[in-house]
Formats: sequence, C-alpha cells, structure tokens
Amino acid sequence: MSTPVLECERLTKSYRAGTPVLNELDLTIPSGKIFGLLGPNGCGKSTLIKLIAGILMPNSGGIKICSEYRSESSNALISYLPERPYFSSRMKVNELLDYFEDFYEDFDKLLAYNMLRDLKIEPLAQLKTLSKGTKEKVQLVLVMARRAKLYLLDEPIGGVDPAAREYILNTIIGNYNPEASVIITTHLITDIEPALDEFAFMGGGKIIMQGNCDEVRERTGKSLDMLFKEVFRC
Amino acid sequence: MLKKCLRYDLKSVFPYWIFGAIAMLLMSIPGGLALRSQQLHTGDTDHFPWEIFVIMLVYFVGIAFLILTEILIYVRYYKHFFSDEGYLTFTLPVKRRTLFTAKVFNGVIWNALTVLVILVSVIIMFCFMPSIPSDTVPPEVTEPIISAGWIFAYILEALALIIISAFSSVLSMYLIITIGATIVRKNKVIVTIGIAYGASIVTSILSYILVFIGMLYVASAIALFPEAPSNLGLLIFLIIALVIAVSFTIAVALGLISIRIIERKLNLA
Repeated sequence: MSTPVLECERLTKSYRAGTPVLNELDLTIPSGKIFGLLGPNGCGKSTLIKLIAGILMPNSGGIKICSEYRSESSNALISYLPERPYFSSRMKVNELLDYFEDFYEDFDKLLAYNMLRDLKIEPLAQLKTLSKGTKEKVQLVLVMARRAKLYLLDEPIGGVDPAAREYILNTIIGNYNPEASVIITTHLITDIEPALDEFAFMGGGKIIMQGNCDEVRERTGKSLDMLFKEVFRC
Repeated sequence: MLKKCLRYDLKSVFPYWIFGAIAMLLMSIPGGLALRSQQLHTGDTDHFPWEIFVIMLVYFVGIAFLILTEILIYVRYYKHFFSDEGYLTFTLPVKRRTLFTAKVFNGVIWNALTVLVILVSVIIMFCFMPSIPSDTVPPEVTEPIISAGWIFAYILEALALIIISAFSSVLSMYLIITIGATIVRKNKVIVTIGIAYGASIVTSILSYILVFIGMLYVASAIALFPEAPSNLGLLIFLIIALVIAVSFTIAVALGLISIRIIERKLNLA
C-alpha cells in the first residue's frame, strides 16, 4: 500500500451535547486514488470533509495529512471544494484566478483559463451575474487547477447539468497524479461510479464499509449504486 | 503573506469608501462658502441664517462617512471570517493570526484615512473664511509647558494615543463580532449587542481602575521631587503616558482573545 495522504484516527465531532455526528471514525486513504465517500443524508460526510479542510475543529481524535498532524500549513496541501458558493459575489472570474495565483504556489493559471474556455465561462464575468451551476463550475475550475496532494470535493456535480458533469468527471480523472488523492462526496453514485477507485460507506458517524470498487463489484456482482441501496434501504 | 492579505482587504473596502470620501471632500466647498458667508454677515440681523443648514448638512455627511467606514470594516470582517466566505479564508495557506492581523491593520488604516479626509475637508472649509477665529488658552497654562519644551513630547504622545485608540476600538469590535459569531448559538444579534454593551462597561471600569492606580503612582513619584508640584508639564506627560500604556494593554489583550477564539473555537457549519 502506498503512503497514506489522509489518516483519520478516532475522530469525534458533535455540534451540540448529544449524539456525535462523527463517532471515533477511523479512515485511511492512500495516495493516487479517487475515493468516493458515500452515505445517506446527515451521516456526516460534509462534517468529515470540513474537519479535514480545517474549517471545523474536532472534539477529539486526530487528522494526518501526508503523515503530518493537521495544522495551518496543511492548507497548502489541500484543495477544498465546499458544497456551496463561497466567493464574494462582487468579484470577477479573472480576479478570482489572480487571487488563487497569489495565495497558492501550486495554482496553474493557464490550466484554469483552458478549463474556463472549455466550459464556456467568460473570465471577465462578475460572479453575481452567473447562475448557481456556473458558479459551481468556476469553483471546481479553481480547485482542480491546483497541484494539491489532497482534493476534497463536496458534492461537486450536484448542481451542474449532465453535459458539464461528464466534463467535470473527465477533469477529475485527467488530474490523476500518483502522489495525490481525490475524495468525492455525492448522492449521484451512478454518475460518479466510473471515476472511482475506492469507496467508503458512512453511517452512524463511522465508516461501515470500505473497499476497492472493482473488487467489490467482482465479489458481489453489484454496482456501487445497487450496493448503496441495499445497505441503506429505508 | 500579511502584505497579500492586507492588499486584498484594502481592495475590498476601497470601492465603497471612496464614494464617502469624495462626498465629504465635495461637501467642504459649500461648507466653506457657508462659513465665509456666516462670518461676513456677523451681526447682520436682517440676514437669513441659511448657513446653519449647510453646516449641519456637512456635519451629517461627516458622521455618515464615519459610520460608512465602520460598517465597511466590520461587515467585511464578519463576511470574510464567519459567513460562507470563511470557507475560502480559512483554507488559504495563511496562519489565522496573520489573517486577523491583516484585518486589524485594514480597520486602522481606513479609520485613519477617514479622519484624514475629514480633517482635509475642515481645512478646506476654513480656507474659504476671511479670517480664522482662535480661542486662546490662558498663558499661565501654556507658558510653563512651552518653555519647558513639553509641547513636542505631547504631540508625540497625542499621535501614539490616537493610533492606540484606533487599534483598541477596532480590536474591541472584532472581539465582539468574533464572540457573537463563534460562541453565541441562539439570538445572535441580541446577545452580541448585549456583549458589546457589557464589554464596553467592563473595559471602561478596567480603564478607570488602571488609570486611577497609575495616577496614584504618578502622584507619589512627583512627590519625591521637591519641585514636583510646580512641574505641570511632567505631570501631564506622565498622565498621558499612563493612558497610552493602559490603552495598549487592553488592545493587546483584546487582540489575543480574538486570535485564541479564532484558532480554537471556529466552526463554520
């Protein structure tokens, strides 16, 4: 097994006194993988992603990024796409590109411009004039144009049209790099399944199943989508 | 990284602030004309005092400009740190301490520039007047101070006090916003206003106590010198220095508390 990009050790998080959203969760993700973090609503996928991204603080447990405990310097290794628009709407697309270039040494501006051109997004457009789906595409372009070690994509295709989904998935696969890993959370398992190398099902604040997608499909004779429906049947 | 953060912070306020600055500077022209007319018509009972309304208007524009600056600074602080924009701010490869420091400098710089613009406006207004009125301070107060050369020390102290007061004011508001956004869970606005009032009262009481204790020390120090009671210049200097030291201590404490909360308690749900 290659060096882990991410290690979560007995990670616990609760927002209020009561049932924790994450309950002593353990998870290890090796480098060079596209990893699907899957689970029903409210199972803690976004909370886990936010903890890894550093915008939530765990109640207990530890997170290691590239074998180092998570600190402010880990931000340089992580490229995070939240599930909601998070840029100031008065900025223009090209200003955002300048902003990313200023702060992230690993940002590839040329790649970002190429991706914007492919997605037919005008670089001089102000964010407030763009639709929600287009804003999400801009965010994804910025996040994927970095040469990070760990990409955290929270619902990256939820708000975009099917044609753009294909482009986005191809972009994610195209960015494949043996030293980096991509974690994707989504409900659109059928769309994302072909891109995934590994997956984990989350439930009750823990990882309840984890494995290699091809091996599981071969062993069970079922797609991930079918397996998900079976495990989380209401 | 501090320079980069500060540059983007300054850029985010400038497009809105500049309108207030231009309005303030433009208003100084009718304000100056009104002052000139008022001085020329002094004692003229038949003259309708329209100048009062113009001067009032200039005054209100000045107040609005100050409020606009405060709103811009504190709204930007809240939005960058505690709204959805925080998802970007706190995932940048920048230390939280650096992000906060940039915000503090941003607040102080815009406050200082606002005061400067208002000062320039007042100077412009006075330039329109045929003669500038001046109130005289009793010579028994000014002479010992000027002759002893304290006036330069006071100018330096006044500058230091203005700068530290600006830092203290910005830091106290940042702390209140930080507490309201991170620790308060229900009725955030009401509780935050309550915290603001409470913090203001506590800070005032603390300042009075510290200044009082300090003044006792100053008084005892002065008493050690035989010529001390007549040394008014030194006494004033020491009291101002004491106020500066207290303001500085409070400002540093406020800043450290905010940084600690942001580093340990921040949870962007």
